[in-house]
Amino acid sequence: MIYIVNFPFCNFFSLERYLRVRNTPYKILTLSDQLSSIDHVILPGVGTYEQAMSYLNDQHFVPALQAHVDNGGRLLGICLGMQLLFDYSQESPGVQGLSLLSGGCVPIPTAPGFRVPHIGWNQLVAPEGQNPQSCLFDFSASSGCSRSDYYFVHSYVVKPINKLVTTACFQHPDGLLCASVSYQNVTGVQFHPEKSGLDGYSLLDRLLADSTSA
Amino acid sequence: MKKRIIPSILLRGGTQVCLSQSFSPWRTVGALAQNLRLHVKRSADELLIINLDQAGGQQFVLPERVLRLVRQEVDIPIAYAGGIRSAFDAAVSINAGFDKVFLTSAFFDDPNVLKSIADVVGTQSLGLVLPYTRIEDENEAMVWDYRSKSIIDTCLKVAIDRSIALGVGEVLLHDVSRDGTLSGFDPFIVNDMEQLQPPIPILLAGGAGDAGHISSVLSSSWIQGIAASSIFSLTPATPVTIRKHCAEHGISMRRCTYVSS
Repeated sequence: MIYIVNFPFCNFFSLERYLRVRNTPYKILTLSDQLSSIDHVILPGVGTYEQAMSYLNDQHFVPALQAHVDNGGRLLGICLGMQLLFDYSQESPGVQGLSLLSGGCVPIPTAPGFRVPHIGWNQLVAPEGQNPQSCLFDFSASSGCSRSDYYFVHSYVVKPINKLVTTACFQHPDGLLCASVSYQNVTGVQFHPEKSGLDGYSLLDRLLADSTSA
Repeated sequence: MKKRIIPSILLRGGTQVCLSQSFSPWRTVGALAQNLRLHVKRSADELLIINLDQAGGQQFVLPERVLRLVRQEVDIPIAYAGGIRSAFDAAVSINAGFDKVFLTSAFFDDPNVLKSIADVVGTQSLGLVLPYTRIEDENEAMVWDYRSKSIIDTCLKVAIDRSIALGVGEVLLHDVSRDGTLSGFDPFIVNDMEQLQPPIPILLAGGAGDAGHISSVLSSSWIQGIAASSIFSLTPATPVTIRKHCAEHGISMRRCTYVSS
C-alpha cells in the first residue's frame, strides 16, 4: 500500500491525481496505521523546512517514519520531502530533520545566468564518476543527460555527506547540484515528477514500481 | 534552465474563459475544462489561472468548481491569481493543488503581507503580477493599478526591487497597453531588465502575437518565460510550435517525450 503524508502545505492533489490516473490505491498516513516493510510512504512537501518538520513532530510522525525505514519500508521524498530526509536546512536554522540520510540543505548559490528560486523545467545530469546507464532516469548514454526535462521549484539544495547517494544532478554554473538521492530503501527527488506531465508520471511508475505491483 | 511558455487562463462568471484587452474582459472563448485539457494536451510548460471574479474582492474564495477541474485535468505546474490577500489565502491555494500563487492588489495595499506569505509557502511559491505601462514609448515604465485603471507613482524597476526584498520569488511583468493586441512585446522591457539584472525569474506578458515575438524576448538571459492567452485562442500557435521555433533560434526549451501538436 502507498501512504501519503498529507502536510498542511503540500502537493497532495497532484500526487492524488497521479495515483487516480494509474488506478493505484493509497491512504493518507495516520498515526494509527501499522506500516509494514512492503508499504511505500510518500513524503511530499511545499513550503518551509521548519513548518514541515513542525507538522511531522506535532503528529508524532518522526519516530514512525524512522521506524518504517529501519524495518525496510520504502520512503520517497519529493521536493521539500527530499530535503526533510536529511539532518538540517539552512532555511530553518536549529530545526532537526528526519536524519535518514547524512547531510543538509543549503541555499542554491547565486551565479550569473542562474536565477534563484530555481523555477521551471530542467534536464537531469548523471552524477560525476557514475555510470549514466540508469533504468530509473532516462539518461542518454552518450550525453549523460536525461532525454526529458522535469519541473523544479526550490530555493535550497541538498548536500549529502556521502556523495554516492546522489543519483541525478542538475547543472549550475558552479557545477552539478543534487537533484535526486537514493540509499537502500530511501529515495528523494528534488523536482516534481507529479507535475512533469507524462514523462514525470512515467518516472513515478518506476520510482513506485515495487509497491504498485505488490 | 529552460525558458517557459505559460498559457494564462482568465476566468470570469465561474468557469468561463475570456480574453482581455487593456486589462478588461473582452470576449468569452470557452470553458475552463476544455481550456485546461487543450493546454495540457499541447504540453504547455505551466499554466496560470487569473480569476477575474475574485480580483480586488474583499473576501478570498477558491471556487470548488475550479479546483475540481484543476485536480481532474492538470499534470503540469499551475499557478493561481485572484483575490489572495494573506498568508492564509496563499496556504489555502497551495494546499488545494496550486503550485504557486500570484498577487497584485496585496502588493499595492499592504506590501508587508508578501513577506508573511513567503514565510509560509516559501519564496519559490510566491509570484507577483506587475501591470505596467509607458506614457510615451521611450518613457520609463510605470506601475499601473488595474482597479483605478491608472498609473501609480512608482516606476517598474523600483517595484521589482521592492518585491524581491519582500520575498517574491518570481515577477510577471504585464504590459497593459499591449494586452490582447497580438502586436509584440514592449520593445524596451528587455533592455530595462538587462540594466536592472534582477536575481529572480522574470516573466513577460502582453502582446505575444506570434512565435517571433516570443523568441525575441526569450533570447535574453534576463527573461525566463512568457505568459499569454490571446495567441492561443486567435492564432494557430501552440506551446509546441512556439517551443520548436524558439529551439530553432538557439533558445533552450523544455524537451518532452510525449507531445500532442
